[in-house]
Amino acid sequence: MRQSLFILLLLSSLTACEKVIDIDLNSTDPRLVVEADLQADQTPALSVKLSQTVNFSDTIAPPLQTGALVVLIDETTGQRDTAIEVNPGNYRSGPDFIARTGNRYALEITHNDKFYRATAVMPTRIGLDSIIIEPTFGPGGLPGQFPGQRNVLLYAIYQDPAQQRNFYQIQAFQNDTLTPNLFLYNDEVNSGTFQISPVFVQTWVNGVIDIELQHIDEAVYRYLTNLNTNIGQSSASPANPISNISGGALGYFKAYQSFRQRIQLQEPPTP
Amino acid sequence: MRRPILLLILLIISCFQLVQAQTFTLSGYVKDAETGEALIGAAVAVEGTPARGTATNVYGYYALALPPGEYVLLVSYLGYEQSSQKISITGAQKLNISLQLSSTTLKEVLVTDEAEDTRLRQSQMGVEKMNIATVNKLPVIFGERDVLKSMQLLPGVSAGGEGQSGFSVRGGNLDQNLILLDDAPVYNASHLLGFFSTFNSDAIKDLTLHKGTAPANYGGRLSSVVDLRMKEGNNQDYNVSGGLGLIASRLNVEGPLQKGRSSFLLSGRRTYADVFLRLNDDFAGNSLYFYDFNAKLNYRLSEKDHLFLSGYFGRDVFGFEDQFGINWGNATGTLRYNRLINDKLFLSSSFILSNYDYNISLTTSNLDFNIGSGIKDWNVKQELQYFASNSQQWKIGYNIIHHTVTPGIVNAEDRDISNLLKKGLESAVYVSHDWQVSELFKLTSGLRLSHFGALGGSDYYTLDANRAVIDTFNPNGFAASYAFLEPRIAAQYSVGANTSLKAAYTRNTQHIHLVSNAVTTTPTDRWLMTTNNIAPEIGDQFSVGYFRNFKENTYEFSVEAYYKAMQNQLDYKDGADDQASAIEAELLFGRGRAYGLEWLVRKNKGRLTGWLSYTLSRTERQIDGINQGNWYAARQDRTHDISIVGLYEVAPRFNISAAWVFQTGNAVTFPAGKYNIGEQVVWLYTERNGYRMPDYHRLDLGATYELKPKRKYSSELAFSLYNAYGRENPFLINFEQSETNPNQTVAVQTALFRWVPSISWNFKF
Repeated sequence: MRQSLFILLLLSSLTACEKVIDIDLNSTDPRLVVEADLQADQTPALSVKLSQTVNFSDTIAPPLQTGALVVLIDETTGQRDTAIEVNPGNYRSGPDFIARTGNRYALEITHNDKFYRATAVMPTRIGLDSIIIEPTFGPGGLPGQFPGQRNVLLYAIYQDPAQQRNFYQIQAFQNDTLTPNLFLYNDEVNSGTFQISPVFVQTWVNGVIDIELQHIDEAVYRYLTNLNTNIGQSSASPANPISNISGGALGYFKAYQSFRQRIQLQEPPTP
Repeated sequence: MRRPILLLILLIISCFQLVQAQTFTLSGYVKDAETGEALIGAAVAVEGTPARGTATNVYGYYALALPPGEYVLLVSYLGYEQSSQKISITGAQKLNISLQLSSTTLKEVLVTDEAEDTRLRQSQMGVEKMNIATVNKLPVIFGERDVLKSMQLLPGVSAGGEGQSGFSVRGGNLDQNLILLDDAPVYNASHLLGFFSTFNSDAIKDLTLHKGTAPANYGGRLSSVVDLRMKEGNNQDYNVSGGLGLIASRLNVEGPLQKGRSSFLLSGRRTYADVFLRLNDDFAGNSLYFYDFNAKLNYRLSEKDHLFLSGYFGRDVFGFEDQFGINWGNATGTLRYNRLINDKLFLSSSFILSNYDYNISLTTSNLDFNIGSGIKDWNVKQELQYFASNSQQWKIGYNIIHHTVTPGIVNAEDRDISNLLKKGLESAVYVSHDWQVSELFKLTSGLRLSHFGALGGSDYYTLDANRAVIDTFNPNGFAASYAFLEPRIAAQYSVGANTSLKAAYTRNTQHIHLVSNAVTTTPTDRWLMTTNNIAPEIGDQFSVGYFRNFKENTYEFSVEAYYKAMQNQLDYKDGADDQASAIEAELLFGRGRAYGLEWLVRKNKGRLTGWLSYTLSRTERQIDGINQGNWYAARQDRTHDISIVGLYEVAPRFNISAAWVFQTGNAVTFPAGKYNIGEQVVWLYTERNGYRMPDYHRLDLGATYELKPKRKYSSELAFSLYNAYGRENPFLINFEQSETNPNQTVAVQTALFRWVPSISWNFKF
């Protein structure tokens, strides 16, 4: 809870102190990490990055994994494609493979004699209706932020389909740079209505902001929620995000639809 | 089922012991002469052999059966002058006794609140009392006196975290403590993220802690009962007291409504950090405070009828302008009617309301959103106490609680949440029997029949073997219904005048559970009731103990051993969605076990008083789906837990105190490795709670200096220094990328409080 931390900081501002400490942590056998994104109606449809875990005390970047066999299968049509390693650890599907709404896809990876598999159904395309800037928050007025900071609160507005539960990932690009926060929403509270989803951007910089709305499935939504908790270290019983890939790999296989919209950000008139 | 039946037979047999020679009942109330407050647990006895004696109940009432004759009646209570008077018994007789505060011990600090050898003589085990006067002398953080935090210095009780008022008893979870304020459950007894408890010590008269071994008149939680009684108010004279502290100020007003018969008490406390915050332009319009308000009225309708009305309201408010706010609070109300039916029958009837709620709201021109959670209880309790003879006492009663739980759910603009509320009915009937079998042997036995019915409200779910939702239903009657027989038995055997051996067995069940993923209380913590998919928690505790007093009860020594087996302990599964409506599908259930040894040495009299307590214990969980199904240390597992408390009277008006605590660090989960997803570093975990936080230790110092009193007015200055040697106890440990090398990761600990000095001024007139 960011709010809780704020109170804590306030309470202990005179006395709290941070320091780096030594902890003797166990080492662990390396595991394969898969980041696989399958985007609808695009080529290359599939983009896969393979890497490996390292020990906590290691000071090297997690090594990229080359020479894997990465196969993408459209289980609805039977189309198969073996991805090409375009640069070390990065694999792309071929130009003929296009992922379609509603089809079921399987990803099969063979690496170091181990076999990993994941499946996902491509969700429907959902467009952004509009993006608005919250007018009432002035500089420094945002929850969880210290006064004097300049934040931007935007809302992404889109129509949620009524039929099933839907899951969304929203990210913001500020002047074409991806901002670090990941926003995850679902329609449990208000299925079938217009969704008004808040998106925070850290600092106000004049220019453009692109909002990308991704329609994702539940398994990936849960994975990303866990991932946020893991990165934020906010849980009392931290755990590895539950992967939708079988065979013991970490990471995810995400089939998604994307929609982007751009707004201009201009310095608000000073009161 | 053989054990309960045996017990029942035992109870029936003991009824035949009632046939005795003709006796008359001497009965009445024992009170403080100055304030008229009832004295709980005062010893009432007649001189001579065989010794005949009893103790007052929670309303200060006693009943003693005596054959006709002449006696010397002795009434004693620690810290008061013993009363001794000649009485002649010729028939049933009423006698109210007022005790004067002892002049020699007036200034002396007392660490226990009971008759001198109560701890030795009672059959109950795992019971601790806190004396409020002691609490007021102990050093505390920010100078805010706090009964719940001082209680953590007792054996078997450990703090939930740095400066926290949340606590764990004998390895239990924080939600396994039943905290009762005048019989009303208080669900979240903490302010400001747990740094202060909701109990303003000005308004509290008595605190009794049962460490999972409470008699049958208590129930509903596995680990402990904390029974707090509010002061009744001075029925002799008007009194105003209060204090100015670093964080908060307090005011307490009490006095008679009818002198000697009825009285009132009003007590309030409020923090004022926000007043200073507003001085800064950046914070103007923001709020950050908490308050507590206690009120009690007690009205004696006749010699036999007594009415009490007590209430508590407390709230934390934290807000930025009108746009964003967090607030939470408790409200309780108790209406109690006591009737003395005859000398031997005491009937107490209570109607109780308790409410806890927690809200976060965010209001902007485009968005109106809040997360709300809470519990509301309606509660009826009736108990008949029967003073059958000097050696036997019965309690028979029932308790019915209607719960309404609001799950921690997002409540956007027009959402109707009424169909998301969960309701449940928790009921119990009990019988409890105190029996002095012989001069050396005492037995307390009891049986509690408890029932829980999950009522309609929100949907209930049918889950498959993998705990996936396959159907929903909304019943007309109970969606699920559970009944338990909970036997309680405690025996005490005296070996010589100063030594006793005790053994006890207790079963408890629990139907209301808190699941939390966070380190401190947050609105996303969910209170859940038992349903068709959430089985009741069951705890069985076995304990044995050796108690010995030395030098005319100046020193107490005890060692108690316990083993507790717990069933249906719940936790979130890995990767759970804690916001899901079908929360049952996100939970896992397993077993728990806790065992340990508790040593206590206490010095009760003299200029130097205090205690040393040491607990050696282990607490583990085994839940299929967590840690590959292996036993693992629970977060609150503390191998060693030591408290040393000393209070010293330097001069009649000058006291100093010190408390030192040492605890093994919490069991925590640390990463073994790391990897990247996108640009972010992600931590790889291999086992649940496989590591330890560094050991926790801290010394606190305190001093109280009483300023020269003037006629009716007196005041004192209280100083305290929290964490006197500035130990950096980690509040949390985070893992971060090194600033110099992004491929290197480091562990960073945050310590909250080092050397927190405080001063407060307390007055009374």
